[in-house]
Amino acid sequence: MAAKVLVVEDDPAARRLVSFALEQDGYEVLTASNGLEGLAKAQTERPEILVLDVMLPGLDGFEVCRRLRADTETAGVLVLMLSAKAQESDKTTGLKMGADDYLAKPADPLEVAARVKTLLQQKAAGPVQISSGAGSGG
Amino acid sequence: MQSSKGTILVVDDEESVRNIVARKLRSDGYDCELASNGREAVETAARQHFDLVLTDVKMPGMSGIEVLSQMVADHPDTGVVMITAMADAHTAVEAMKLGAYDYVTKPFDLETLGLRIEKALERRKLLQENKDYRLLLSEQALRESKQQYSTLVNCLADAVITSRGVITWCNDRVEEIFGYTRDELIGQNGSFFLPEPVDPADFTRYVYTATEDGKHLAGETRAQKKDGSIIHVEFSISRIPETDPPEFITVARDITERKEAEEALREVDRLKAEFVANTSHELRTPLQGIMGSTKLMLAGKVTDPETQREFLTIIDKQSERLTELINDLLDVSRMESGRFNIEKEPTSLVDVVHDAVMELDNLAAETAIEIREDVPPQLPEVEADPKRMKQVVINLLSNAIKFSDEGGQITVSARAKDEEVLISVADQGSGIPEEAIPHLFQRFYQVDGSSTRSSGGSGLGLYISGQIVEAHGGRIRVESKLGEGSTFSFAVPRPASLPSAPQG
Repeated sequence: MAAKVLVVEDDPAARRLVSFALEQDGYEVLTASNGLEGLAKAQTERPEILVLDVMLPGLDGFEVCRRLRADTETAGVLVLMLSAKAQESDKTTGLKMGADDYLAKPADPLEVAARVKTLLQQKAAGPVQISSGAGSGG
Repeated sequence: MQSSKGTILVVDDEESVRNIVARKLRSDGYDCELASNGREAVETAARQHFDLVLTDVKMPGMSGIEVLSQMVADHPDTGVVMITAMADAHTAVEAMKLGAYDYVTKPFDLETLGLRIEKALERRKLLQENKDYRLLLSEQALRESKQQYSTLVNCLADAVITSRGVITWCNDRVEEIFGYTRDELIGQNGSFFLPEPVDPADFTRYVYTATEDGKHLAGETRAQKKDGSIIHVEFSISRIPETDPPEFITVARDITERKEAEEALREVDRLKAEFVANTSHELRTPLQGIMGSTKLMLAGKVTDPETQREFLTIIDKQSERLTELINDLLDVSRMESGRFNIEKEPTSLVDVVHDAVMELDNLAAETAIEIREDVPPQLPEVEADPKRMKQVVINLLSNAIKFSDEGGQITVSARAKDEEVLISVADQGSGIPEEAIPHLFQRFYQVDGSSTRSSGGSGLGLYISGQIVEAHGGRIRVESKLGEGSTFSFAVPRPASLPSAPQG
């Protein structure tokens, strides 16, 4: 079954191109054009992963991420930040706010799709490793 | 009474020698006193001043050498001539070493003695003059040095304060820097100037320790003036060598201006860095569209001709946006370095407004927005740069389109007033929150914090517009109500109202 990806991006061009690349890879793509809409869709649609812009009207991406992590219902969702804020300090802020990965604009949409794939694979593999480790120990 | 050639004390245990010598000296014009032993000589010399003591070496009790030592110690101005036995050269040498002027050996003839005495007195006189002269010189040098010191200390741009636990003196500059008079400061502890209270004993101990072994205590601190204001001070405290209790000299300089200049420079640096960071992400947003489309097409992911056309249109629009952004950045750079020029000429704002509306008609049509022109054809001309005026109108119209709903209406109007022509751009859009209004004309300010500008803005448009209008001697204003729309207006002075223009 195709994983659900939510693209939260206010720039129509970036939203369209990232969505296009993800759809090509077979994901089910949802979009939101501001932070509040993104947060609402993350809660109702339960995507596996968000591609989240930072500079958004209203709630910015950092705040969206923080709120996702604070809510037990959405705390486990993967977040890939994609931002024109390209300084090292911005990346640090993003990771502190709970992002799983941070990509600076301009980014190749194919790389965005590849990172989405990697994050989903890591998440799928992660808990198995821990439980198998515990299993062999006991 | 004839004035004496000098006073001489003759010391000898032999009465006959004393008397012969005394007679000779008195006949030569000297005042003479006699002593028959060392102790008597010392006692007499203590009561009365002598220019010269002529003493026998070999005497019972106190010897002549002992008399000599006593005289050198107690009466250095009195010369001493020894009378020694012929065979006792050793004693003579010792006496000379101890400070005797001369010696005569027994037996002596009276003429020789007279000459020796005369020479000794002459030497004493020269020595005395020499000493007086040296004293005079050193007093003069001291006086000059003191004058140099006080001139130096008072013409310094720095405050100079001497202290010994408390302030003992300060130069004139102290009052200029700190506002306190010398009298107000003398007796205060050095911690007096510090804005936060410090225990005077702790302060003194601290200074004492920090200046041990010839070290200077130097640094910067904040200080409080008499009027309560805070200044920045650079200071150096030194202990004056060999003073006990220790005495200190403090030199302090007001560096408030320098500090403020440094602070202003840091602020400029901070603004520059912020500008570069802002520019960086303003450039990245359109680049995302260009790069995204290009990468996808080059990777062969876009096979459908319609999507190809869609992505090429993205590249086209974002390239235009990037170009516009670069032009805006160049304008801002010129404005901030003072190289921004406007070229004024008689300008019809009727044409300016019409050209601007024509240019944005297509963009407005995309979202079915209507732009109405309400400009009287007889509008008087103004002295303005027509290109820059058009840039302002286009900026205001672009913003109006950006914040208008689909199917909305925008009105550009112009009105001639007595002293100026007023241009307004009114929309029926979402309006601007009150707290955002003061920031609207700052560069890179975004009302909603977003990076998207559907009309291709840069975050610099209103800043640039404000600068252009100001350069024309006008002003730009905004009125807005949330949910009802915004009206941006600017006024350009009419030539008649310009101060230098003739009244017509």
